[in-house]
Amino acid sequence: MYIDKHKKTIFEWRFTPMANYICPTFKVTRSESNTPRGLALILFLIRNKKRNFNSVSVEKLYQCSTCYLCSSLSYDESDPALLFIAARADIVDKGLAPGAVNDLKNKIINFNSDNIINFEIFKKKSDIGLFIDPLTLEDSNNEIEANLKLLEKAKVDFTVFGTKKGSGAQLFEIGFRDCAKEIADMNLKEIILSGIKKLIFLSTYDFRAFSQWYKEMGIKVPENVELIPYPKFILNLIKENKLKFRDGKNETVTYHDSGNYSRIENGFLEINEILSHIPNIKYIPMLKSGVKAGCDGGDFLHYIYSDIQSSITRKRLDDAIETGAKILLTSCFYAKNNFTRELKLNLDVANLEVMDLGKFLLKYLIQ
Amino acid sequence: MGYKDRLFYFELEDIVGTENVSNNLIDLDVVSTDVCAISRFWIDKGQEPVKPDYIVYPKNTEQVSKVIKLAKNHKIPITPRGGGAGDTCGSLPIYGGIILNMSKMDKIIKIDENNLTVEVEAGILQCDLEEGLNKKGYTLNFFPASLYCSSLGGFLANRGSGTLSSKYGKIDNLVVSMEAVLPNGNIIRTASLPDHSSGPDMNRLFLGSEGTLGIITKATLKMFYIPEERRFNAFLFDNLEDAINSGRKLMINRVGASVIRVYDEKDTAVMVKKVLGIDKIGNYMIVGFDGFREMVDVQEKIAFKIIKEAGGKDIGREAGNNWWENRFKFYYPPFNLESETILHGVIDTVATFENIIKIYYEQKKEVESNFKEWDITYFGHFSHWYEYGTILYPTFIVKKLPKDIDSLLKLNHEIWKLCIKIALKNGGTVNEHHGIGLRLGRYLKDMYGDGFKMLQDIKNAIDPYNIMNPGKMGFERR
Repeated sequence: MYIDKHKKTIFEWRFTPMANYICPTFKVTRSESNTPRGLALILFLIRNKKRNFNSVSVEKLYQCSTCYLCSSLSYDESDPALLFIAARADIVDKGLAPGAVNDLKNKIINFNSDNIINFEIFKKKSDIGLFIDPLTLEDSNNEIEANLKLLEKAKVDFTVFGTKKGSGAQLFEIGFRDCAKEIADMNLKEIILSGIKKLIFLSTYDFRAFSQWYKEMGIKVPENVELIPYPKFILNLIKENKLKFRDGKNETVTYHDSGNYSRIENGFLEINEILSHIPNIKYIPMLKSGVKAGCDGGDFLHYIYSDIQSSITRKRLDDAIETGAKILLTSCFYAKNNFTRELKLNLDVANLEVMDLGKFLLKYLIQ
Repeated sequence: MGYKDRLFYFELEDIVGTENVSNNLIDLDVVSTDVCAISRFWIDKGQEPVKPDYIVYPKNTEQVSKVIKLAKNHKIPITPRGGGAGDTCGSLPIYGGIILNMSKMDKIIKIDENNLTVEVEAGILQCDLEEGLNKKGYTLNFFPASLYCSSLGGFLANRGSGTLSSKYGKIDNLVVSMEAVLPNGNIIRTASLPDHSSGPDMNRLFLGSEGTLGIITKATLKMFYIPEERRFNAFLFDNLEDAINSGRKLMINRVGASVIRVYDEKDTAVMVKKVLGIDKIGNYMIVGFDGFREMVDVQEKIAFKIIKEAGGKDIGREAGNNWWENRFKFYYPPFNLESETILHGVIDTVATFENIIKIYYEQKKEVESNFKEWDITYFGHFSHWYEYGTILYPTFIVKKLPKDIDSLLKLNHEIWKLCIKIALKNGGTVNEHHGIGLRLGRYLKDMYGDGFKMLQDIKNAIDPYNIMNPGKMGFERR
């Protein structure tokens, strides 16, 4: 079983309740079976053949949003989030994935990004590659265009990757490892052939896939290719004076750190530094920022357990509202979509505007 | 499940709603353990988890009352559960029945900024309560090791203690009033102020009762302004007696230390080194103060003089602050002892200053000699101080484990038996702040003598059908 590789994590967490409080799914369900300890104990019993995967344990494992908050509390290599992903791969192997999970897999595999943005214009040789998640094109093509424009304004020469099949991140997360590996293999070949030196990620999940999940699939990203979160790359452009901003007119903003940027090595935690380059912008951090930033509901939960995703998103919106900021920024398109959907459902919080960081920066860019 | 039980399930659903009852095997498995070695090893060794029949999540006091009335009618046991992080098997459903999971009663009801009190539902996790207060500029100054996984109700029911207890007291000292549901379903509220002469303090009936006399549903607690200054300093002593004596002097002179913590030489060498990376030979001591800056300056000056005169070597503020900032590391993998293939237990007791040292040396000697064949280590620290004595917080670690579950539980039993016997013989208590539960129930009679009979009479009078957390605290079995 895939979970066998994670027996140390199971062992260390099966009776350790110290991460329960931080688990966003537990916070909205209040079921101990949804906690990192609960899930680890369930997997311990399954691994020791005291229990089998059944509809309830499968449900619990897919209700985890894979936010990595529990893993961020480990002081060693044990990684509960990765364990729960591995368990989903076992569930898929046994043919026990719920219908909604299979539907999502089919949606991802059959998604056609043609005709949304013409990427042909970027197909040239460059040292820099920009990795774009095709699934985000559906709801965030305006934001992607804004970010492309930002790069254009900074005169960045780049080529584009991923627009057809993405990184396989979501497929990996929900347990379809074979499909994910096929995509990953294809990406790796393309990257090696292209000879790029830097790969910039517009989607936080793709960054996680290349930084961690590909390794789990036995794929080694060449060491000479530097993996960079998009906002980190933007920060470098700002430091190089390639992007300059006009007066922010005392706009108050807060920022949602995506866990796949903030809770990963070489990720992105420097939003304060980016915003400090826009004169008269007041940045008010949320109480839980950076590594311990709250979960927004994630990328796949909406398609499988939308009620849980909605409740998690609402809690994160409450964190943003508490700051008193007028704009909630994020560098994650999935987070932006979760927030936007939830705002539409809750008119009482409608005073808050959700905006992609790139789009916000473009708004204040000195052209 | 037969149709009789199915009908009972429907009745529970009628009270709390369909989404707030579960009898799924997976859910039942997960609540069949806490942090106690007994329940952990039971599962580890492949035994069938000891499960409840139902988990019920009430959302308000009225629902708690109705569930209890229903359970009483059917004489079905109820075991309250907060965070499930106890280490006494106190929240385990050893007779099946209902687990009353209080985690959906987690609201901060009222923050009284004039009298500095907070009214709160008992199912709230302590960290969430603290965070809620911090947002308004207040704190409970209650920071137990299980801050992040235990509920307020759990602390109240077990008389829990936090890191700053030497100044702010145990949870008992923070209680102004409480609401509880009795085993007959009646809802009672204790006097709105703790200090009065209007009869006995009813809070005391429920504090430490571990759910055997009723369910605590709400509490009003004292709160404090977040202090302007909070500082820690580390010292090192060549011998343990001098360190204890300096702590004693700090307490009897009421210098106002919020933290006094003395690690014995072994604890310093093992845990302090492993978790904090501080590699020292001797007895490591942390002293902390908080409040207005000027006051802390004065308190530290007096305290440091006392400590140095008693033989303490100042090893600096950084070593002290490092301890405060990393104190929760002890409880996360790989530092928590549950992450290792060992048997361990924490045998905390409290006694007067002269007795606590006797208990420490006798326990250490007897444990290390009687269980030598199991490769046992005994070390301890002294971490919650009073004007009349201090806690001894010893840990035993057994590295060579018996293979079968019966031999393992027996070994665990024998170590505890020996340690409790020594504690009681020397004027100590069965426990200081983890509670009694199933693990230590058998010793409460030894500690109280006829006093325990009175407790049993109270239990019989309030809970004649013995439905409330049966089998715990040494009360009669079902």
